[in-house]
Amino acid sequence: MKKRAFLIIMALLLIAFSSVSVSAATSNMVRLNDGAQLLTADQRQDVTDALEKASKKLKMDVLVVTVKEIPSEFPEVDDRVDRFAASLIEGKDAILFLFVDSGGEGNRDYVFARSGEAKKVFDGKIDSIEEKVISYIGNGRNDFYGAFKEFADVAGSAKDFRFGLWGAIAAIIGAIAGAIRSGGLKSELKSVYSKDEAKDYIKRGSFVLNKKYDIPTYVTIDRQRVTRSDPSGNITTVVTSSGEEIHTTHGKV
Amino acid sequence: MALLEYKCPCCAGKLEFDSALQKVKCPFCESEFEMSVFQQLDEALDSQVEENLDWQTSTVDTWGVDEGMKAYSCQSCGAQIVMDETTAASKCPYCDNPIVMMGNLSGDLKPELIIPFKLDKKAAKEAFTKHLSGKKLLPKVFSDQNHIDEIKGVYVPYWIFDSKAEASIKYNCTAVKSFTEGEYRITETQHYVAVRSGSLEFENIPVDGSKKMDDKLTESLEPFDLSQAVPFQTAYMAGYMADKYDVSAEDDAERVNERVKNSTVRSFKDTVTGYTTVEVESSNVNLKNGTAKYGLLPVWVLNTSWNGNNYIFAMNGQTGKFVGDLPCDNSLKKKITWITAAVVAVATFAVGYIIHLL
Repeated sequence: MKKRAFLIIMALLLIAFSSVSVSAATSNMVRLNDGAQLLTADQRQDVTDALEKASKKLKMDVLVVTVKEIPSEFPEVDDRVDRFAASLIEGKDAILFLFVDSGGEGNRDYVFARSGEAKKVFDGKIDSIEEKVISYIGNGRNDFYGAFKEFADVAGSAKDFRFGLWGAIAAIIGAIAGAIRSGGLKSELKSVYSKDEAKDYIKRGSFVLNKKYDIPTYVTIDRQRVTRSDPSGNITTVVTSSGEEIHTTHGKV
Repeated sequence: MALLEYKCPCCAGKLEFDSALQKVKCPFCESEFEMSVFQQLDEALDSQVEENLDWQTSTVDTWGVDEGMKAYSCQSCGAQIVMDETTAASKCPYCDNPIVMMGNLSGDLKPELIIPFKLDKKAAKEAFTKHLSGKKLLPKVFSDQNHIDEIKGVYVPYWIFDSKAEASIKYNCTAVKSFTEGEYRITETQHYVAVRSGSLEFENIPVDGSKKMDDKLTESLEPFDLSQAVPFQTAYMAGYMADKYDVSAEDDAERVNERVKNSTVRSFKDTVTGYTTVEVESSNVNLKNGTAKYGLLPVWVLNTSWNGNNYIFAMNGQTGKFVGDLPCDNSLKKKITWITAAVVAVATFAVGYIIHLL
């Protein structure tokens, strides 16, 4: 039994460590395009290096683009910024952080767009990424270097295995399983219990119900506002001219 | 006090009740006797009063006999025997002759019914071995060295209660509905008061009437099938131990009333259905027409000692149900806990890693 359990665990570990995701790949795209001139030359180099590192690690493109304005070929519609972002990563496995530096503070657009494999990797985490990254820019901070570096770092670690979390989960489940097993085995040793009831001695057919009524008394109503935890609530789908679906998360800062 | 001894009319050997045959049998000449043969011997029990039959103890030298003990003279070998005053049947420790203390079974002390032993000592030993098997946390040395210090068939005195419960119970209930309305999650809880009243009858609830027997142990041996009980006859006790009751029916009634009340409340609660929660607000259970019969029920008692502790096991002599708590190997328990925890933790971690890669 122990031998079999050991073999199963080893097989699982072998499968786990030998599995390699080969579906995604990086392209030769420029990692950082700072058209809005928000960074210094050194900062650009740093951010480019960080984006390159994240791209290689994830085997997909991790990109930052800043612009002063959306090109005029994109019509003035509600999802104009999303469509522009989608056009930049169409046909790729990529995540893009697009920042449009126009409209003044509090009215500047940003978009996190995902295409291909990046949708699977980032859709569930996009709220957390958005919160971390935009915290560098909002409330008058305007730390674009910090925001882009944070974006590269957070995106790069999106597929990291969370050893601490899984270690804690495994330890808790293991402890519970150990306690249940030993508790179960110990209970086999006990067979002496007092009886609190006499149900074995109820005379068959002797139960007589003379009175039976149920009266409604009062009603209590509890109303709670629904908080949407569904990450897809913050995701817009842009369908490109080629029919590709690209997910975007759009906000203003 | 009068002693009744069962001797074989053919060979004068000691007679014993044979649980397989349900007859009295002589183990020496193998003569078998129907139970009806011995009925005449018990006729005096109805009229006998213990005090009037104490003449025999007066002939016994009771010097040095402790309080709560009684001295008897074995009519078979003449030995003087000191026994617990509640003992109703035993064996002479010198000649092994089965003896019945008639004074402890006569008049008010005469049981109305008895369930004869259906299973013998061999079955009790087998049940004990089975009881020890397959228990992983049982210390190996306990099962390896297990030797039963004592095994005895005992007719335990029981009060057997019949009762009718009349109940009126009020329950507080709730029915909870949840639904979403716009941006809100609405939880609507409708409160109800449910009232139930009626009656329920209980029959043949056994409660042991012996201070010597642990109540939890005897309750664990339940149930007994009282439909197989027969009118009391001392011949069933040949070869077995027995005690007279030393806990009155009135004292046992408290325990039985509690059990009846709990079962009544539960039975009525089962009729309160369709609610999310049901709680008893108030209950009024009156017990009526309560009667208590005195009976002797068969129990095999096994004693063993290990590591300075005594372990008592018991087997229902009618159904074979075997009970008795066993010692635990705590170091093995720790080891199993840690090994299980480690194996499950590693497996969980591996599954987590696989999920991450997918």
